[in-house]
Amino acid sequence: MVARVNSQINTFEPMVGVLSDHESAELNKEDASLFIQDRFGFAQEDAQLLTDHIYSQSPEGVLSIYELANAFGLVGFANNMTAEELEQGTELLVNLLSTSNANDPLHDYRQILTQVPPSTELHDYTAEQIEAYNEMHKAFFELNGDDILMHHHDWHMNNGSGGTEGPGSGEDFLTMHRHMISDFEKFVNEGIP
Amino acid sequence: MDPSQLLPDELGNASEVSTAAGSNNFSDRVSNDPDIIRPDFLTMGGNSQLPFVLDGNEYRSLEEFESLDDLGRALGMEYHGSVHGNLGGTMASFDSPADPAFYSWHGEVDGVVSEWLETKNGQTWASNNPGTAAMWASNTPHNASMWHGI
Repeated sequence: MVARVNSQINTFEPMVGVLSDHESAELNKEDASLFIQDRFGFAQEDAQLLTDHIYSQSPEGVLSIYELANAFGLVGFANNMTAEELEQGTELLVNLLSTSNANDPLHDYRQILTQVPPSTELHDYTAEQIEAYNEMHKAFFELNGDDILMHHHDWHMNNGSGGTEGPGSGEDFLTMHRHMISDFEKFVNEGIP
Repeated sequence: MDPSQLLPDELGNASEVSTAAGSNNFSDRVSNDPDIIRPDFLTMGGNSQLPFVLDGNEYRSLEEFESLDDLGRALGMEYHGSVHGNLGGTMASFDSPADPAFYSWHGEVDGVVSEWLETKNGQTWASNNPGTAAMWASNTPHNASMWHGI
């Protein structure tokens, strides 16, 4: 298995091209199954079993390559892969994500922002990090701004300023806004629009 | 963590921001200084002289909150809105997500939740509400405190 994976590193490029064309670098279950068959030598039945496991954790039915890499490692372990095999498989998938991002005009900004340590306060950002933050917000809003503003506006029209409408309103306020922040984080970290 | 500090001058340079959404003009931000300190009742070990009162209960520190809902009501009652209001302009409207400061400010709010989830009461609540609590898990690729403070 390991040798087979290693031998496929040099033939990885064609698959990168296919995946780079895939919108938002996400894979549905069928694509992921084919990917695992082609690149890791799994039998069709085994690949489907793996992807069934992986995608049962994804309500949306699609995963980014980054998420798939993580899931592949966890699920692969349950399918008796060796640690070395898991490392190889995960590395290949992460490399694939990195290569896909090379064509991403926001790639440099993503790299800058994802290297900011968690809990760094904004006034401690460097000028370069602030620029990256602004550019990512700008790009995020170009894609999603209309929908975000409509949703946010409607939510507050129905729920007030947040947490002020009695029992239940506090959790609603926090979870709704947490979803909004998470969407931006996914856009920055993984390019999910 | 001191949200009363100024926002970086470079944040949200209006010339750098898309107008695709139609209303994301935050050049009308009144101030880059929210000038709001987190109240003691939302801090660990706080001993607030002005406790948050909810349904007859007084909360003087973050660890006293027993549910995410109560914490959300405390955050929403004044602290959250005060920063929006003091920054002014778009940040003081329901179009506030158009201002980059929105995401850092709500990252800060999420950070308060993450702190609370580390408390005994927070952990008890999380054990009974694992699905919701997972939204703030710090060991995911989407770190809840990535955008922290303003």
